[in-house]
Amino acid sequence: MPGKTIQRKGFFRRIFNFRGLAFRSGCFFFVGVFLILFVSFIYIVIYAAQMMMEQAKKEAASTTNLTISRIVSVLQPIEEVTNSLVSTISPQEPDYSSVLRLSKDYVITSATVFGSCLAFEPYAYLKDRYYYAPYFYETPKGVRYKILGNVSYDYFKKEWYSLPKNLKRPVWSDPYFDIGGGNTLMCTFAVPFYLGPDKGKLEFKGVLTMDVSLRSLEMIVSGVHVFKSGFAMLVSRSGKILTSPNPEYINQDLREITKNIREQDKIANEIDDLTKNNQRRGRIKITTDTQIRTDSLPERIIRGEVGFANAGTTLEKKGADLIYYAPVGTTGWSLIVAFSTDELVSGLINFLKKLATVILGSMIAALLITIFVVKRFTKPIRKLADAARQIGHGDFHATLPVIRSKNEIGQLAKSFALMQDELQNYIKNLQETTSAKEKIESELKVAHEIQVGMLPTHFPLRRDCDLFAILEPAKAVGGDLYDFFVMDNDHLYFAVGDVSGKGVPASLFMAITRTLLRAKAISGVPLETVFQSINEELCKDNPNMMFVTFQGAILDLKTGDVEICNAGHNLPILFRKAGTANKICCKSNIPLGINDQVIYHSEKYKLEQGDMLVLYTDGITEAININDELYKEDKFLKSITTILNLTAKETATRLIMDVKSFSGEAEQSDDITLLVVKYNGQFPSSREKKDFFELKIKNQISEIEKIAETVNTLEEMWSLTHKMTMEINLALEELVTNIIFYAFSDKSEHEINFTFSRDSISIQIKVTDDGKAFNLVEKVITSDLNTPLEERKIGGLGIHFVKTMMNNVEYNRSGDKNIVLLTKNF
Amino acid sequence: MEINEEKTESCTIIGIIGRLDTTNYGALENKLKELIDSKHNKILVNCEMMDYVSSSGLRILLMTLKSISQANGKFVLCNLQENIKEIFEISGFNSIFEIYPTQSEALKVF
Repeated sequence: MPGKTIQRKGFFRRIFNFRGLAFRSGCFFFVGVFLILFVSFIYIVIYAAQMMMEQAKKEAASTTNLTISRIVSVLQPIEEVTNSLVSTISPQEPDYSSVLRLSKDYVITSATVFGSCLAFEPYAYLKDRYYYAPYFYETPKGVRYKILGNVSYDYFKKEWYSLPKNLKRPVWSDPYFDIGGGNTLMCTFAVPFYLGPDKGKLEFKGVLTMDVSLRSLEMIVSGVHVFKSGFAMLVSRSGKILTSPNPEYINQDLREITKNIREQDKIANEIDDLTKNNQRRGRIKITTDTQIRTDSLPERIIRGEVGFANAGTTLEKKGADLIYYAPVGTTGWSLIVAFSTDELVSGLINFLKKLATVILGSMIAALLITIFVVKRFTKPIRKLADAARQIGHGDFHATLPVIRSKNEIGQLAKSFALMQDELQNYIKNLQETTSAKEKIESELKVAHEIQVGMLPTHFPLRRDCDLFAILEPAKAVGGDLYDFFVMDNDHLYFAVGDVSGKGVPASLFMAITRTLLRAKAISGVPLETVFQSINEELCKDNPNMMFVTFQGAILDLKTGDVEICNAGHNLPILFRKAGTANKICCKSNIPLGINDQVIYHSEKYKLEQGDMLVLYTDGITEAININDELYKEDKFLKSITTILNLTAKETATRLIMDVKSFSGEAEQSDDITLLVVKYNGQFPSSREKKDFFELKIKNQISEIEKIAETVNTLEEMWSLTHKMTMEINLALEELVTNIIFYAFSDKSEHEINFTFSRDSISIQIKVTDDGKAFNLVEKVITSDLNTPLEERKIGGLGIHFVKTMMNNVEYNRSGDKNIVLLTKNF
Repeated sequence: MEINEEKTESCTIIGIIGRLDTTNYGALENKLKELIDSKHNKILVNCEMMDYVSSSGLRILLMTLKSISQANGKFVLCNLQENIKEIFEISGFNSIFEIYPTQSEALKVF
């Protein structure tokens, strides 16, 4: 399953993420510090190793030098004394006795000199003595004297004699066990002396020797300690070991002992390499012979060179693998100091162990402290996080942790508390606002319904004029209105208004205004008077001082005369057929509902056939776009002039479209109302024969059949639908039945005339009778269709049918005749 | 206008053929009055063939409905033509009368 794989992949990550800040920061801290300390530690190890090695070598060198100087300080007086004693021997007149006496004294006084011998060449002292060598030597019982030299003790062959003789200079002999002499392991300083008549003819006559017991040298050398197991050895010129911690080695040849050192070269090489490396780095400046394998170490030591070497572990005590060697003064001897690098390293290791322990300990302590501190610091954050989660789940009253500190966490908590407060307030406000908004919206809906429900939407369908109006309510309902109606068949009333304020009060005020207009606009009453009486009514009970800017007009459909009265409203625009659009600068009266004493004035204009009158509210001119720019009148006028030969409906629709495209995304701030009236003028009455029929009947019920016959003929002639035929039939039957039953009070015969005409839009039927005046248009149908059956009266249903079946019904009383004009649209 | 009459076990079926208008409503009025007077107060009017009705015709139907309702009878219409149905709607009579699309459906209510 893929899900499981992902889970497994992120296991450590999840574990890590699950842990708190304390754990994470602790871990990061620990790892970081560990790395830093680890690197430091490695550096310390390397550096310390180098330092210690260098230190050890320095110490070895200085120890060696010190030892050498101590040895020299012991041996030098011996050399000096011997030399000076020899120098007292006059080549011409030697005084041997004083020499002997002085050398005897020296043996007694010197702590290191074991014995002294004045050995002569054969027959040099006495003509008859082959051997002659007086010898003073120390015993536990005091200084003894004896004459050395006989067949068994042929001192001429002894090194201490032959060497200085041959080399012709003072020489330190190798150690030897002098049997028959000192009877102990010793080495001897021998100075040759010469006799002769003058300087050029001096002859070797013998040597003066000083014996030094190796034990006394050993005391000096054994005092040398480098580290625990380090030690020193003295080697003679010929490679014999003079002193060694191991007594077995004494008097042995160094070369013999170190024979198997070569087998340890492997180790030696490694150290050698280390030494070489260090040399390369220029850290340790010592003279190590790198040709250790071609020139053996003992040879170099014996030769009297100075340097370090790796001796392996077999040289004396185990572990003494590094040696330092240097010659001892003029003796031709060399001193070797050996010490163990293991001890050196073990010291270092001990040091590092302690260091590592301390570091590790401090790190663990630091880790614990870090976790503790971070935990302590993050505790409030965790509490805050819990609170935040609670708030996130909608509990806005979650208790917040109290944090007194003024650090960032304190500030965070403070901000958080503030946020919680704000959130609570916000929610509270939101709830209040929402409920208030809902209230307002329901009020606005009511207002909107009042506003829209009141507006007439059945526009007159006439040949002589064309009217269309649009009201686009804004979101916040304004108080715009429009109205129109035809009076006397010849007069078209139309009006546009804008009530101050918005909402239900404005809508109601608007409703009142419109009702008053309908009530006051009576045929024959001048427009000024209508305005005045509406104004008076509006002023009567108007505590809120609401008012309406209003513009009303009466268009005489026969003549094209139009009377306009303007109460503080936007000036109407007259759009001539010729294409010019101009504001009509009619006199502006104050709006309705402000002052009941105002006298309103109207002005008259003349419309020609094809002219249009455009009435509107400031919702158009004050429409704004997203850049807060106004639509303005000149733009509106320009928009009107682009219109060419359109109906009122098309004109209105296009003008509104232009305003809307200007506004774009901007919210509509006010109602937009537009009313367009197009005057088409009177049409000539002459009609083509086939579009015109006439019928005359008598006022008898049986005559109704003639109407049905005529209408059936029309159906055929004009290709009417069956439905239309039936509706015309029904309307005419009801109308005629009404006339026959109610129009005539006498019983004499009367005539009812019918004319049928048609154009592209409609069929017009004129019905004329000479009965009593009866305006069926004004007749209000009292029998409500929704009243219960028992209360229902059948009267009025016929007239209802007439009005419903026809698109327009007009009534005129002309002289003693009733004229009913029925219009039925196709 | 012609009027057909058919008596079934449950009711009387009246068929109206042609125009019902001001000139001839009296014939229907007499016919219906005759039935009500002879206690036949369960009447179904089949309007399948009726292609015109005016307010006078409607008045007769309404009067019949009133008197039959008072006598606890039942007066039902069926098979109205589309045009006729519209006239009923305009007058509001469609809410007053029980109207059924077919005769068989109308017969079930008796």
